[in-house]
Amino acid sequence: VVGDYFGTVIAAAQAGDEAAFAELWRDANPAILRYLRVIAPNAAEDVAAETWVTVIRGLGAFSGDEHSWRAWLFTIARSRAIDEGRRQRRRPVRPLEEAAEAVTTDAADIAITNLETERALRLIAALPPLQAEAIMLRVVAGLDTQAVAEMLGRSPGAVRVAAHRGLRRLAAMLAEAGVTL
Amino acid sequence: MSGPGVPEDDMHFRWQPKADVPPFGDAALDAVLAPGQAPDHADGALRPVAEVLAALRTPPSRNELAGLDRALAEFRTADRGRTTAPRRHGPARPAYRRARLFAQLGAAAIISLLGVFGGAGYAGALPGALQGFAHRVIAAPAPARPAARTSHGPGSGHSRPAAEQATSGPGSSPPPGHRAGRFRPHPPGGPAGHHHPRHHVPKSKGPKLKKTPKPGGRVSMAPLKRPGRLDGAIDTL
Repeated sequence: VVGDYFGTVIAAAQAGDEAAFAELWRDANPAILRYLRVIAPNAAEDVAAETWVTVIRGLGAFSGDEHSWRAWLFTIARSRAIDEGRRQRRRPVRPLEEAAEAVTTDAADIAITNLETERALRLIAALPPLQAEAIMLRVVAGLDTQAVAEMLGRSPGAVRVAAHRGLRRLAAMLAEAGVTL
Repeated sequence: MSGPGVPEDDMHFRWQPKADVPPFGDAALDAVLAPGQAPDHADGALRPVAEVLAALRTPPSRNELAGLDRALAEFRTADRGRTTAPRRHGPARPAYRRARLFAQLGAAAIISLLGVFGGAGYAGALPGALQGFAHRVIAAPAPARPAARTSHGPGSGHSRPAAEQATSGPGSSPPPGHRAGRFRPHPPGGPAGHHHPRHHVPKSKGPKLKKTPKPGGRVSMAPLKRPGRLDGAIDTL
């Protein structure tokens, strides 16, 4: 979270300041990547890159506080993930080289990434999609129920229920498997 | 179906044993979801869940920050485009499209000018020389002349056709079925009493016109009245 001086940082980034943009990127990109690893696990890196391309194109037109900024970022990330899902459904077979490269990249990622985070992401990804997305947007993106509801096109009550069901299911999964992080 | 008396092999699936998870209240779940919630403060049974959520909020790893250079390159490109590229307010127009547009505009302007010229020529509204030119080229009415407008008087013998008189003035239009090019102006000091064959106008079946000399020398054309009884009486007187 950038904090109190978010307005200054976003204004500088909109004026073309690279350091300001880098600060925004460092703050938001890990959360975007974690969110995308749950909703688009096969192409999280690519979708994150496409997300930032879209963000950069629309940066000059953005106005709002940090909460609006994060809601905007994750809305774009979600749209790009949906596009990627459609693209993969249209051509589900990938060339062998590309598949091998993806496996290598994933293995390297797992080695570098915090293992606790990786396990946690896998647990959340095992939940039903709506429950997993509601939890990720609440916890990782830091959005409130209202913002998540607008993003998902559901009522705030439905989002709250989905998140609670997801947490109960997660607790059951952990108790059943005796998993501890 | 389940219940007492139902054999165990009646159903084709098995109920999964439910894990021993105590029910959580909504308030406890909301507290786990709240930002900045430490796992230590979570309810005992919810602590594993709180630890999973805390693992989602850990500081970024190295690979999660690896794409900054790519994003900065994109940012630089976009920023250069914003600052240096001239802003276009429409689609790019190649040179040949621009030339074609100019040619079309020029042709439209020429056609419009010709139309205006022709219209003004037929209306007789052009200046003298231009009206003469229009008369020769597009058979517009001849330019009006002061001599043609004045009458030669009753004794001059010049019998100008009525139709010509009616059409020679500016702004007048030829009658239907009448070609403007048929009439030509008389030569200056034209032959009195000379009827050019082209000037022949067929007699109309309408009311007859009578040439009435006026003090100003103009010829008035009032329709003749049919002779009535009163007229005969006047003649007798």
